[in-house]
Amino acid sequence: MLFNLSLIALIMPLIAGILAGFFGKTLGKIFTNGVTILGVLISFIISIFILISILENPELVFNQDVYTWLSIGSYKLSIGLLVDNLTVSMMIVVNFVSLMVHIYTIGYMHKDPGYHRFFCYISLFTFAMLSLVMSNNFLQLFFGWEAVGVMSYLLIGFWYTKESAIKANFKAFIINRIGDMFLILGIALLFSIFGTLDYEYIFNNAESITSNTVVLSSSFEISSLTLACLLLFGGAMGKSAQMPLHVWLPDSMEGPTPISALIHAATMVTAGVFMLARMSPLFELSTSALSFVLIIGSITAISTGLLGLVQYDIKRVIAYSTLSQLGYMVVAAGVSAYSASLFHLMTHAFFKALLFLAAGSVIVALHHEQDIRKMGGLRSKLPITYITSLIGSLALIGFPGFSGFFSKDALIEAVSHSSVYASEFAYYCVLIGVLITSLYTFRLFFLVFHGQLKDENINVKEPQLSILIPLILLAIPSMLIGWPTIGPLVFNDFFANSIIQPSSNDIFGYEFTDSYHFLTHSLSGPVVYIAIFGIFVSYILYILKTDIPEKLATTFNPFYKLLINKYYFDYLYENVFARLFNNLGNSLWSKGDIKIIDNFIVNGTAYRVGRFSSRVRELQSGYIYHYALMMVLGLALFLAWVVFKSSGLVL
Amino acid sequence: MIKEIIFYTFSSVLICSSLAVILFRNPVYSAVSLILSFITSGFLWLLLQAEFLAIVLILVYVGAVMVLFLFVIMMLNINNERDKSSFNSLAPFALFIGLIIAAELITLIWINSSQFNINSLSIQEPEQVSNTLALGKELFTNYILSFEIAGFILLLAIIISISLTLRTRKNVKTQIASEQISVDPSTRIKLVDLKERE
Amino acid sequence: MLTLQSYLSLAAIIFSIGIIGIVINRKNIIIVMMCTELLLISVNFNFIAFSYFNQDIAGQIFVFFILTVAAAEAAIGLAILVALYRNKKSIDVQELRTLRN
Repeated sequence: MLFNLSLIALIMPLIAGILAGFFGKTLGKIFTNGVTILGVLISFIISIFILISILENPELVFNQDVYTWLSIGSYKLSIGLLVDNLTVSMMIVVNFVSLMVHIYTIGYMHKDPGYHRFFCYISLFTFAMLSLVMSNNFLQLFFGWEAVGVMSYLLIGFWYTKESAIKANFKAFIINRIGDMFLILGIALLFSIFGTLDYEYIFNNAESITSNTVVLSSSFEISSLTLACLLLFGGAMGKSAQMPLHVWLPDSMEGPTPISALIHAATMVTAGVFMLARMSPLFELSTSALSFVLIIGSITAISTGLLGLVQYDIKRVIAYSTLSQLGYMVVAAGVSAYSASLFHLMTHAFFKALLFLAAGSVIVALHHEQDIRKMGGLRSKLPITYITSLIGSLALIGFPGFSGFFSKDALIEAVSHSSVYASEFAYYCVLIGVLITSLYTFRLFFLVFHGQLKDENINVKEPQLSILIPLILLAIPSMLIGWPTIGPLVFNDFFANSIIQPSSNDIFGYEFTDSYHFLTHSLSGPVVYIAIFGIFVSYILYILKTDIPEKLATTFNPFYKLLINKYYFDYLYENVFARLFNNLGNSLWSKGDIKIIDNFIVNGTAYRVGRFSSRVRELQSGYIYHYALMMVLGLALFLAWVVFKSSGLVL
Repeated sequence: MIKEIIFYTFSSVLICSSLAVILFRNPVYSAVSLILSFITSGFLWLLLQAEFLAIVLILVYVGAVMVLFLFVIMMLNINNERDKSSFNSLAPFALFIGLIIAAELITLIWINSSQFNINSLSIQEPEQVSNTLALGKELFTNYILSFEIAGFILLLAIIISISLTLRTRKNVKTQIASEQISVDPSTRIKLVDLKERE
Repeated sequence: MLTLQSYLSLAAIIFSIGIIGIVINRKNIIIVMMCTELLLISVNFNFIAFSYFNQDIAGQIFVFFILTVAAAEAAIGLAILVALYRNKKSIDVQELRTLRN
């Protein structure tokens, strides 16, 4: 019964999207709104129902094939559903945020000519994300992976007449593709080792091949599990925007704000983290892969956070914040604290979506102005937005009691107690990251909502209700969801049948009793104080003495320039790599395609055949003795061959 | 010993006259050289105890075929006293190819010489019959069919030659039997119904 | 010592002379016919030599038939030549190019 329900939950957004896409324009906005919101709502209700059923009766988790897609010899590739605790929690997050975004879009895209197309795309995106999290084999994971990439491409370039949007969506897709290349290699490696792409089979038999190695060269062997994990993480690096494949996420802010909330905060970018958690049976067997994950995650966390300090576009600041938080999630996975990583994923989905939607509300109220230097003092004009943004920001920095606090703290605890290689480095990175997080978050907050109200903004007012309701609905879990869920999710075994991780004692070094106890325990750690210190510092910098930031910028000018240019990553990619491949393509086109293939081979063949045949035609001279000579020549050659054969000489 | 001398003499004559066939300008001279080569090869066949065939060669080939050649040469009145070169442009190449063929053939002969089971030269035919008798015996018993076909081929040759070169004079009234038979009566006879005179 | 090889070599030489004659002649077609006769003679030579050295009369039988066929062929060839001459009034080899291209 649960199987059929999950199938319905999976298909509903797809059907809704297709209906909206084909018939939306003709049947009007009410139809589009209605059918897509209905689709996602049904999916969401089913997810909750499944959660309740599973909590009551843990026997109900299932892993079942829907149908066999392809069967070659002994290889069978099928479409299947694996619904366990991990899946259902992801389903709830995805569906809830998607539902909020659907409602939000009614107001945000109200005047946009591509209204119906947008709804179609976000419904299809929901379907793709659901198929990714509900899959039970690598093939379907890959399908979902690629599908979300495609939907992201379509949505970033939604306003396709804007050139910067087109460039941004190409960038996103191409960089995603680079990550996908690694993913494909990893999947292929696993397939070649195990002969099947089924999760269950691979996870059950993973331990038997720990000694399997892949020989890369005569002197270098690598354990095949490590190699597979590294390659899979490569895919995660692309999708979850770790360094150095992070450059697409800030540019993806060219898309409308709702999708920044949906895709680039809550769901698509977390697909990588989800995959890490799902593959935990594999990653647990390879400590070198875990160390690599840890290092990449911590570098991402700290460096992208620094970049967020110097941005002037309201959405870009939040984008860099997303990048930084993704780094945190990856760090948690690197120290084997998958449950903490997933918990942070969940809370992050709520408060980051909230922040994005709030930013969207500000943008709409200011008639699509996005530069924060033109904002200020908006707290009196946009009160609900102000309060929800405050809640979101406090959750983001980990203020005690809010959801983000629980997840971040659990995460940092795990890092501090880990003994994996490079965990010390990671600990310092995440700790400094906390300070930077609160700095940029409250820089944004103060610059937008506090300070002087600018003259041109005198007449702004709150946007309509369809924009405000999702804000409120998202603010509630951002505040409260930490308390009830940290126990079961992080410390106890809510995820026990989905991921493999060491016991919570080993990871956290802390015996959990209840949330209140956790709160007081972390008050004895440095994290909370660093966060609150950051609030004060940013208050000073951006409210009291607003000239200090510029002075700092001029004093540390090279460092500042480094940050403004995003560590020159974009420069590197654009001018070195892209130019290289551009030139390669051009020269291949002009020399290879035109000269060789067109001229030499295609035209040249015809030309040469003509020349050759006109010369051959002269053989038909009409003189019989010419023909006789040819016959004699043939005879001579034949005799020559016979001579050589009979004399034993080999030509 | 004698045999060797005879053989080498006659073979050199044969080779020289063959070369003369192709090198003379005057076709009559070429024909006469060919006659010489036939006669010489007939002698060589005598050395090989093929008497019947040697005589037949001279009778048939020289006596009939070469005479025919000379008839045609003289009838066609070929005038070849022009001073243009008698060899075409391919001459050196063809010469080269010819020499290669000769060399190859001779090489093949000497390479495979071990495969010829050569009986000694002194063994005669076991039955001590003359060559003609032996030939006749073999021909009319085992090869009778080929014999009949050979006769038929000769008949064929006669018919073909005549039909190719026959010229009929115009305005000669001859009977063409096939046309006589295939006549349609309605074109020759007209039946007229004569009414009775009163 | 007269061995089989000597006879065969002689035949081979006559054969190649005949071939050279066919290819290099420019004078007239009669020469071609005569060179054909040379080829046939060399083949006959081969047969007679083998028949003698293998003490098998079948070689001579074959020569018999070759002789017959060669005579017939010479007759027919000359008839063709005469017909050709009547049509073209010349038997120069250079003018027989209707098979060109």
